[in-house]
Amino acid sequence: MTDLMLQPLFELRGVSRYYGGGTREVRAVDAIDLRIDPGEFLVVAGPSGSGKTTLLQLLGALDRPTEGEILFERRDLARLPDAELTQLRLETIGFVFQQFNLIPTLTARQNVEVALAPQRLSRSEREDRVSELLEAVGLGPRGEHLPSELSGGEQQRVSIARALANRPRILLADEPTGNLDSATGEEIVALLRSISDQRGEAVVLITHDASIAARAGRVVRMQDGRLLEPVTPADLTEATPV
Amino acid sequence: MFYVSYMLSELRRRRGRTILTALGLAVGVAVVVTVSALSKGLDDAQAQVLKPLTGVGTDLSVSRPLSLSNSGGGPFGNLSPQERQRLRSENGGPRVGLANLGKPGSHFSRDTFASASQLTFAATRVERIRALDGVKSAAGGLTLAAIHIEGTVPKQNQQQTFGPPGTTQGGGPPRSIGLQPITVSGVDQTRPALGAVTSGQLVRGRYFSPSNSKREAILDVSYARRKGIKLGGSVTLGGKKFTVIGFAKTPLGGQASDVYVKLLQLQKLSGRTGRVNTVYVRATSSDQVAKVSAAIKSSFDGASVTTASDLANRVSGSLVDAKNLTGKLGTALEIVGLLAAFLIASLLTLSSVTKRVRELGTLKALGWRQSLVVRQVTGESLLQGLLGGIAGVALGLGGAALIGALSPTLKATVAQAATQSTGPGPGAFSAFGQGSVQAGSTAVSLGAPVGVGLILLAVALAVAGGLVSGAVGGLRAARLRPAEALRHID
Repeated sequence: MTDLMLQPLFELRGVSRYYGGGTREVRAVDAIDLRIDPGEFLVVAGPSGSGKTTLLQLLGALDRPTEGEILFERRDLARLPDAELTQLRLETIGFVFQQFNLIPTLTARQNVEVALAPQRLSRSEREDRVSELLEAVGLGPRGEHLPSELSGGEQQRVSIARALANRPRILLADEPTGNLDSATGEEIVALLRSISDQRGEAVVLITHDASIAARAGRVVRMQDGRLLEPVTPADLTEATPV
Repeated sequence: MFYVSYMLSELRRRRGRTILTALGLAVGVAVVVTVSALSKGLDDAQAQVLKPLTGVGTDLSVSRPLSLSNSGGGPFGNLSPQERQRLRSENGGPRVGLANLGKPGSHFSRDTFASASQLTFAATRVERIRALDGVKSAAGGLTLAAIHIEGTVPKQNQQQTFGPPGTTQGGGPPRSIGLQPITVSGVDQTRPALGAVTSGQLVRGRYFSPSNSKREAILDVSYARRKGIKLGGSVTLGGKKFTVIGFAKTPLGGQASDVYVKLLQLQKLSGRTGRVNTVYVRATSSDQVAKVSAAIKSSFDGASVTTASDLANRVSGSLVDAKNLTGKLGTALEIVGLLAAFLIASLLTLSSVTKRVRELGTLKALGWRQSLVVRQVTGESLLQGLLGGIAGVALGLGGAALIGALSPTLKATVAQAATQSTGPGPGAFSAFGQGSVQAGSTAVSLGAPVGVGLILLAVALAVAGGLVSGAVGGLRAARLRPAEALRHID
């Protein structure tokens, strides 16, 4: 294990994100302390509006906290300029979205290639990596199809392949099963889990599905922007409201 | 290159938006192409009308007009004593006293020549003008009013004098006397491209032979028709017979003399040896005309220099109206058309960016730098601009072709120049040369030529439109915060 593996990947200290001001102030994330280790499979559970997505965006360097520190590999994201945050997202973070966010005019292959475009790779390198990723998510033969020609599960697989394109250190998945039937959702979670196990990427997955949360290595629950007491996956059953 | 295939995919798969944006730009570009082509067509039509005004190859015409003076010293007070003397000797002849014609009842015939409102000057002046910087060629010319008087001496007041119609003293001739004023020009036949008549104006027959011994005449075709003179026939001037070797057509606004003969022969016949009253000048290039004109004026006292552009002001009619309209309304139409096209393209691009907020936010989430996102949006707009430019050129070419096919006819009218007639002659001596300007109207067909330059300009405008709309859209895209963009609901 390298020194880096001994260090937390993320460390959040008193992180808050407020919107609006005065009487209309909304505390989407409120004084959160959280540590995420490399290779960890963490589920953030909680009802709608509890601040899960805002937390994910803060982790993904898409937004800046109003207060507190977000340390990513010891660097405080709140202090990094936009250009460095962009580079950080490109090189170390992969996103998986509930609605897949595939570009409708591009084929599955091209949608994966989108993530590689800003990198200085040769055409053959790009093509090889795209093929490898599509194979890894089980979509080898479907590369030339447009998103509209793929099922929801297939689209989410493309989205996962895209998230993995730059060999990130962490995957941030925002309700990745929210638009899928339960069987497909389970397949997607299993895929994410196996990727995490095989490739060593950390995964932070947001869900309000207890059965999915039960598969996590660790679960944190959010309510009104705050983290509740730690729970273990064993505490959750499919009937448990999260 | 991935970015290009991404752009092309966007344009191909969002076909409706692409077509609409490109069409918006195309309409604006088509307006520019059509109006510019129309404007060029009008320029060409005007040039067609003006070409004969300048004579074939003549850029300037130099004369020494006679201007009347209101100051002391009489009407010719501004002339030198020598010039006054010459004016008297050159124009005194046409005043015919009955007492000098012979006994009443006897037949008489007489030819006289008058310089009318132009003073003659030494032919050496031609050489001096030819030596000026910017002058390619110069030819001297002599245009005179030739008056042929023939008839029977009447038995009446022998002290009466008469002149040609239009003169102020003495009135017309008695009924027994026929008086035929014609204009005659002497042409330097060694320079067939310069002069009162050029080889290019011949409609029948041939141009003068180089030799000065043969008496040859070229007639204005309408004069010949009026007089029933055939090719190969003859005309008599100053008692000498000239063989008619050609007919020339004087175009609208051109210098019309009835008869053209060789310069040396006219000089001899009219007693003006070594004298000319017009110099036809061709400049080395059109941008030398103004310089040459100034040089002539400064070196030649009292000279009047007329250029083609002076004559352009005398053209009127629907051609000029259309040209003025195109000049004013056409430019406004081009500007409005382009602005509308740019606005449409910008709004459509902006709307497209708004519809793609989440897509652009996703790109940012994936690590696309702001500049890459802006480049993507702008690049798409540029391609749309290019498509719009091509479509616009096609539409514009269609519009121009339609104008060409309809070929509307425009009327050009050339007004008679204001003249000062101080002596005998038709009283229509023009500022340009000495023959009477062919006043009247002509019809020209309007075309709308589209040159390569115009096509390139049109495409450049469309691309500029694409750039403007791309910049608008790109700016909107650049301002997107990724977190907000991802929250956007399509």
